[in-house]
Amino acid sequence: MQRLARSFVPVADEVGRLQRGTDPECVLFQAVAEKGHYAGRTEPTNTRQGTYALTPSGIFLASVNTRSPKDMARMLETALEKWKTLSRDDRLGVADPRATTGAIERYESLFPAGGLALRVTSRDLPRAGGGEPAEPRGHRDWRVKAWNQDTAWFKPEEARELLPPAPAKPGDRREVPKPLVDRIVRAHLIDNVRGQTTCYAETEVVAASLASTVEAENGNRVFVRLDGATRAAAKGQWPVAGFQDMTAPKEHERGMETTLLGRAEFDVASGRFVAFELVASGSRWGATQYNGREDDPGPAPIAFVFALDETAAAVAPAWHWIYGWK
Amino acid sequence: MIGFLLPLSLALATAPELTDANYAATKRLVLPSAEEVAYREIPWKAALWDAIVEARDTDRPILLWAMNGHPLGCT
Repeated sequence: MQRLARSFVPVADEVGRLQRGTDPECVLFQAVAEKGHYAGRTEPTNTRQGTYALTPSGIFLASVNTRSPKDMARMLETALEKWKTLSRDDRLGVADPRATTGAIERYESLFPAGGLALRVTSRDLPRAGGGEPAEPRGHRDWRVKAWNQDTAWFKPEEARELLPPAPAKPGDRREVPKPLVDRIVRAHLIDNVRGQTTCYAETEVVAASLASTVEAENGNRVFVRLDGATRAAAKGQWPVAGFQDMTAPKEHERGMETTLLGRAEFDVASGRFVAFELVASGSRWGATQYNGREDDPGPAPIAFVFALDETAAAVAPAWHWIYGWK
Repeated sequence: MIGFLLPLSLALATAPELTDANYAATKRLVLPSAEEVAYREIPWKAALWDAIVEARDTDRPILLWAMNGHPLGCT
């Protein structure tokens, strides 16, 4: 399969925007998807998730939604066979797509020059005494080892609020502004380990504190220690079992409580962090529709790692719309 | 009896307090292994249009991995 895949230009993208958007990138995808494995589907959802092979001119070659390497290989072979039947003009198109790039509306274009991009990894921590839930669906292996990732973004001026103001000297301490910590709690300290979940509302942030203390500085570099504590709690009516209870959701509670600890290094000349790491560790409880916790509501231990990663600027945070950036 | 069990269950339900002493170990438990991120060895573009531009330049078909949640982010 890897040999077959090398014949393609590989791309990963978020299907929700592609299937709902109206810019040229989305319109092209929609036309391709309606030739594919979920063409016309509306129940139980209208998702067009899957793997698609297409020409740069927008001609559908093949598609599948599978975890089977054999099925994927078969799809790639089918796609390549069809590719070979097309004329150069048909498969490449006449217009240069660069001429249309300005019309593409992606949230990623809002990532600011000089901004701070972090990769956020989430995973369950081992439970003392075992206590892993029985998994009647036969998915125990992946659920026990599950982890997820996201990205967290900060504008340059927000990144500067993660350390004491200049000129910083050892011992200087700053409380990171609460709106920034609230955003971290609402959008990033969420139980997505086993699948996407919802963010917390502003009113559901119970506690959110993060402080930055200068440990050392050498004129051009400032070294800070980060510490804090967070708690979010929600109560209401929502589904917790995928499609099974989505039409008759019951009352539920969910929440997250963590302590934060980390270290970062700021380069004064460039005005950017050159190292950043923050761990959040604590307890989660409750479930949401797609996060795979309906039979594992906890409370149970969980942890997150926020780490500097320039590639995180290429993918918008899952809950980017609560950032309010325009 | 219940009074004894309640604090114990809470102790099992949350992670040990995060300190400088257990920081590195906690981080190691969370971060993915090389095997878990092997998919990152593929040179994925992160936007379909970027792939369209390169595919046209190089006369190759596109392989699009589309998920609810960006596959290179939270799914």
